[in-house]
Amino acid sequence: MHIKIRIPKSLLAQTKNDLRRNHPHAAERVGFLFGKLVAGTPPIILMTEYIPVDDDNYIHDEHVGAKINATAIRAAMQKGLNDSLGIFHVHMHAWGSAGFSGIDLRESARLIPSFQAAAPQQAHGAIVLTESDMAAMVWLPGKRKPATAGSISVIGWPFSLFSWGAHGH
Amino acid sequence: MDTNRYSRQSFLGPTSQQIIEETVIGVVGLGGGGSHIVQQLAHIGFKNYVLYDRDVVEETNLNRLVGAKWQDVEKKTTKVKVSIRVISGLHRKKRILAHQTFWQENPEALRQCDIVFGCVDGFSERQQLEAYCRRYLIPYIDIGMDVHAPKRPEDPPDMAGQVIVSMPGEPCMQCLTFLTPEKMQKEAGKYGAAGGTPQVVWPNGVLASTAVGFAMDILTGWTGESPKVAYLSYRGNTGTLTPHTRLPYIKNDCTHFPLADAGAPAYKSL
Repeated sequence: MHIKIRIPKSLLAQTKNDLRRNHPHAAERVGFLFGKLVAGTPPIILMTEYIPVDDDNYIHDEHVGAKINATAIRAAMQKGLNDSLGIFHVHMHAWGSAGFSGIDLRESARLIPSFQAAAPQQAHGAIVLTESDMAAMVWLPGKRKPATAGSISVIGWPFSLFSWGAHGH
Repeated sequence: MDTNRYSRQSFLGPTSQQIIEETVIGVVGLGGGGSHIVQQLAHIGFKNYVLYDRDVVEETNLNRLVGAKWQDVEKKTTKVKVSIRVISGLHRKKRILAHQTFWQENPEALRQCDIVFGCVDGFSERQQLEAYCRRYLIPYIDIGMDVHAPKRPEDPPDMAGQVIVSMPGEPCMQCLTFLTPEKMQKEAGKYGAAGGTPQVVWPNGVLASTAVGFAMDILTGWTGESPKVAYLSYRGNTGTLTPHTRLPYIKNDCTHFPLADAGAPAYKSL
């Protein structure tokens, strides 16, 4: 299914600015984007807000770039529940094409049932960014398996379109 | 994709034609302004459209409706059909969702658009359309023109118009003070007494071309500029199109359409 994601340029810039900051001990930062699902064909997800993870909520773990504690995840779930928003775990790779590593996929999949419990009518997922690219995995309401977003539009002047349709990524 | 056909616009960027072919364009109002816009978009290579206009071609439209023929008056051809004919004349493969209705009667299709052009009459229509586009994070480009009666009998009529780009997250038409409660109130007071307003083809051409140019820059970024908003004022009497004088004083933060309000309207817990 060709799922569309729209994110305002200013919100993407805010997200990247936060994720670029060094952390005292974690190798990278993570955060949460929140969005609203517009049901239809194709479904559209409108990203509306970003919330960073506090420094204190990162756990020491040398095996992964960043590991966060339950407090950070609960805060994201609470916001999803309060405002009925989709929750998207987001992190940034330094360069190149955006893609999910095996760890990214495995860990994201573990979070989704909790997100779905918090806001069952919404789509949830994970987003990976680079300086020049982005990709998203989306779990639509009630779905156990993710779908790759067909396109992500960064709404601004100029517009950026990351598409996995006719002309590939 | 026929690369030779678009070779003269390759300066727009190596992926520009692919972007153009994938983009879904909404045009609301297919009269004097919208018909110009559709014609230009079709020439550029856009193939996906969502179109709205409830009217049929009338004799008084023939002075400006691009693509209309005198036979359309007799046949009562819809303006939507005229646009489809123009697009079809340039593209074998296309996807057009055409609605011979007010856009408010079938708004769902508009959500799928990547850019919406508003070529509607009146401030209230503009406000509704911009609000809808903001709700679904769609860039909205507004054009319009009018011919005002002279203030003094010895002066000529005053031909004026505007092109506005309203980008989600950036200043809106209320921020730009193009839409104000006073203007809407005045318009509401005139409801039912408007009659036929003066409309001619050449200002529509200027405004439509400028609007299409903005859309092309938004989609391809070919100029390397990245303005947050565009608000150009047209003066037909002098043939000029200039940045609106208020533009430098506009605050960057739009308080009328917070991002949190995006999406379908819903109840909120208090």
